[in-house]
Amino acid sequence: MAVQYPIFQPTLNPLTQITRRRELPFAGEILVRAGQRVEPDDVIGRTLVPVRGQRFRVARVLGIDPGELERSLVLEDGSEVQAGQVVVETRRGRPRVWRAPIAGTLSTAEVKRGYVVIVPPAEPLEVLAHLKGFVVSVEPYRAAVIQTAGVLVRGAFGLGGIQHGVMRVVVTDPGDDLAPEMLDERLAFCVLIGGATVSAATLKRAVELQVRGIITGSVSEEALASFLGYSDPGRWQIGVVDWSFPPDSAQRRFPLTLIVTEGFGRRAMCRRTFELLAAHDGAEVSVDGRTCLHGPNLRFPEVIIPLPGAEAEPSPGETLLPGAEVRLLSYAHLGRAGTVVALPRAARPVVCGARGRVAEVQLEDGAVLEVPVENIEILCPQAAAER
Amino acid sequence: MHAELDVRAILVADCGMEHTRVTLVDLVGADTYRMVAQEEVPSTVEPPLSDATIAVREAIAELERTTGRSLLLEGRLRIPQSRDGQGVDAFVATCSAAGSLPVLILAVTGDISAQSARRAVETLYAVPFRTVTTEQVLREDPLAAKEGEAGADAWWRALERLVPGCVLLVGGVDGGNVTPVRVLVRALAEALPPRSARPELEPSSGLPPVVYAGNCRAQELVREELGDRVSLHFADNVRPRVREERLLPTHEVLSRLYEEQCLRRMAGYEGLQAWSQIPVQLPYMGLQLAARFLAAHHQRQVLALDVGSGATVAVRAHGDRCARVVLGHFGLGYGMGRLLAERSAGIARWLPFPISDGEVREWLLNRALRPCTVPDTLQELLLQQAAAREAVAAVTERLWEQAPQSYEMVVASGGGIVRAPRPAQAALILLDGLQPRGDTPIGFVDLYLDRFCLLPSLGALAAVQPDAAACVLLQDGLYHLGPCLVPLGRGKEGAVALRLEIEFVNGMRREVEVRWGEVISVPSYWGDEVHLTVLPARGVSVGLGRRGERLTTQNGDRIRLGALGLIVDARGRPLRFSPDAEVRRKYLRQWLEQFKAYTREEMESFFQEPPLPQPEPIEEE
Repeated sequence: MAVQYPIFQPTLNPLTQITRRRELPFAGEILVRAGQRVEPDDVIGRTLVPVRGQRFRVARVLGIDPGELERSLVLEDGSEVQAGQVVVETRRGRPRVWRAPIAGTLSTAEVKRGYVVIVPPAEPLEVLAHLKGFVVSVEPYRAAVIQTAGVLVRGAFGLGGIQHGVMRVVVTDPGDDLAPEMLDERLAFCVLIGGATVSAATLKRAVELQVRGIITGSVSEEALASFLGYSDPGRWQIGVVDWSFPPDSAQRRFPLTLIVTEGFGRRAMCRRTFELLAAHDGAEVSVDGRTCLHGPNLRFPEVIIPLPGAEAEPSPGETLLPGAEVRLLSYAHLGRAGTVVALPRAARPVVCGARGRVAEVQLEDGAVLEVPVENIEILCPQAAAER
Repeated sequence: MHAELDVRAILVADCGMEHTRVTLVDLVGADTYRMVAQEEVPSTVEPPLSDATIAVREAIAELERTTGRSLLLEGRLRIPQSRDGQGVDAFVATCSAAGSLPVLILAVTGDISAQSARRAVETLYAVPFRTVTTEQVLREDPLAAKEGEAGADAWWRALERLVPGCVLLVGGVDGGNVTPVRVLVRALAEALPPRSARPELEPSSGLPPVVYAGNCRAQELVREELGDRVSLHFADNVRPRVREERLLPTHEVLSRLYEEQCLRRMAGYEGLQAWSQIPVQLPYMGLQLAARFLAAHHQRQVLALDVGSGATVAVRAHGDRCARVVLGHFGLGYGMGRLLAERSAGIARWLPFPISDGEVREWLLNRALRPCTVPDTLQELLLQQAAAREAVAAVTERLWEQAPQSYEMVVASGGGIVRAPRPAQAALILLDGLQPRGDTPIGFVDLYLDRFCLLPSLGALAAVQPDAAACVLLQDGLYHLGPCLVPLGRGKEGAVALRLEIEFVNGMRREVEVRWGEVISVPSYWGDEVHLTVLPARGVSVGLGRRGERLTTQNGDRIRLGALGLIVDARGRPLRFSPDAEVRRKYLRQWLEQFKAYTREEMESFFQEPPLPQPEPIEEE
């Protein structure tokens, strides 16, 4: 019999204390201080991101051996070089030169192997707050922690990094699809709330219009594969190298953040989710599409709507109990939500004679289903549901 | 021997990616060990709990409730067992929750050395996620591509993702020409980030270790080129001669890397190790031990399968010989991504209702997103079982590359098969996935289920008490589905393939006629021992018998029937599917019904409701 640990993190939280860390990938300068109020566009910190050096087969190009290459260097290790600047000049026979194809810092660490390495200048990087709130702590040179009270919505999967913008509800019903013709220039830099699904054409149109994010109920495999440029199902190697989702998302930059609340297919967005988001139409919202499905970095995409002035406590994990508002996760019922009316202790038949622990869930239309406990997820905290 | 007898009660924990299972084994009577109780709880390797031992404790607490024994005292195990039977004498653990090690294979040729390298990788929880050959290396030069020009697919970009992971470099026969290896090694050295005189100017990134298992003459060359750049490991050549393959040395090196990079870094590993009397074992080793034991005990060719959430394993054991294939990240839960990537095209052919390939992929992706969900509709159950068939087919296809395709006994473990609600469904998954021919000396294939998923834990159990492992395996581990007869040959559908005469112990006789295209089970009392006479039709053979030859056990041992009685699969080998989807579905429904895997009502339900759920109707406000 499965034991239920109190680990359910609700999918929706209409009001909770949200704490997020904004970290520099490399040591740099943190520009905020503890207690400071920050806006989404505020720069939290800046740093220089080192760029990997480029190796050039100079000995082979000049037809000399590595020993001669070392003697032929006209610049010292660590010198700054400009593109086109002479770096190597042979002295024996007819003089030949090799000019730096890129600007950067010269490294002679691999000269004995016949290579010259030029390290391009580090690239500046600024990390934004992406969230309206207060800085509660600062880790010098590295990170700042921002806290706010607000709405937190967790998705099933997403793609893209952290973005923020004004939230716009584009459809009128959670069952409506977000069609390309619904998008226009007025939605640039906004985060859009769709309904059931989006097509590849819609996603491409959104990128053209510089839409920052889309929150939708579902997406078809075909549409997402087309948007990602996956030519065959072999690209869906989830978890083979890492658990980021989509499989190669750790190596890619997406021009748009997509958050899918239910899953793959064509499913209406859970009505409760849609209504909660739609109630904040026009609010500043932060979306984070990064998804990792397993392991120590487990994370799901999230939508944060800061509610300045509201007071909230951090929400603890929830335990599945009668009265809990839940959503159903199995393929047949994806997108549906209901309330747990009973949690029988004894195993019940599930399908085809298989037995398992079930929850009796009353759906929004009044029907009561017996659903395996593995197939439900707490939708919102009990206290919020009671409110 | 006395020391062994001191170990009476043993707790065996199996930490999987989805579930953690704890089994209590105890001495029952004078000298018989039996499984006393088993509890299964969701695993707690992932955040927010991030500690595998939490689930183990929960499962032990459940065991305390069900057995009435006290096993924990102030959060610690009660060891040794007290005179009143409280506590246990030993705790052992197996663990597959650490995932798999991704391996980038660099091989001189794609057909010889790369294949051997892949087979070496597939002997443990590792995934050969990409293979790069010399040809590709010459075509895609990492230094020729300007920064930003090479796509994310460039082979050297894969090196950035291998944390954890490793590179396996293979090629050439021992003593052969080293030039092809030199090309590969140079390419790898050039693909690694350049060393800088000022390391602070370089982005910090861990480099994957490199395992060299190629031409032994090139070892010095490899050391020269890579020795000061990466952590370098050497193993004997996987292909010392063109016709010789040697996988064990590479397996051992990769196993060490797996332990260092995956197992030891798993959340809660140290706690698990501290509790366990022996080093934490890997489940595939237990499965292999069980297969070898059964092969020796029954003097048969044994095929053991484990279709789990995150990995699929197949072991064939016969006498002293043993072959094993482990498909890491390939399973019915956490391994659904790789199954989708490699086998999604084959899944729809097993489904008796209309469904597009796109819908199948969407179902698989939803399972990959939520691997712990369970099927709660008939369609989902059939989809899951179709995926299980493909997993079985995939792992055994790899196994037959290494071992003869011959087995007399199949033991299936892992949630993917044993959780099938009806034994007939599990049997049909095996029949479809394996397509056994039964052309063995005994003439049939015995199908068994490891209903409590004990086999993977037996390696750990055997390490502290071998008798306990043997007793539990033979008495509690195996659920006999039944022997399976397979007529070989071709006949018109509906024509008689063979006749059976079954003589029960009480003298009762029964005659059965099996026609081409049928897959049936002849029910009996479970465990009945019968004499069997097989009368194949003209041109049809059974086992190693000649075409049309009558075979009988009247003068020999009786055949023991199983839970499904006697299974006869007369669908022909290999199974052929009609190109017409409707005809194919008709046959699938017929097989599922005939074999009593599903009832007629369940099959008819597909015509009464839409095959897959449609979006919720939207109510007008």
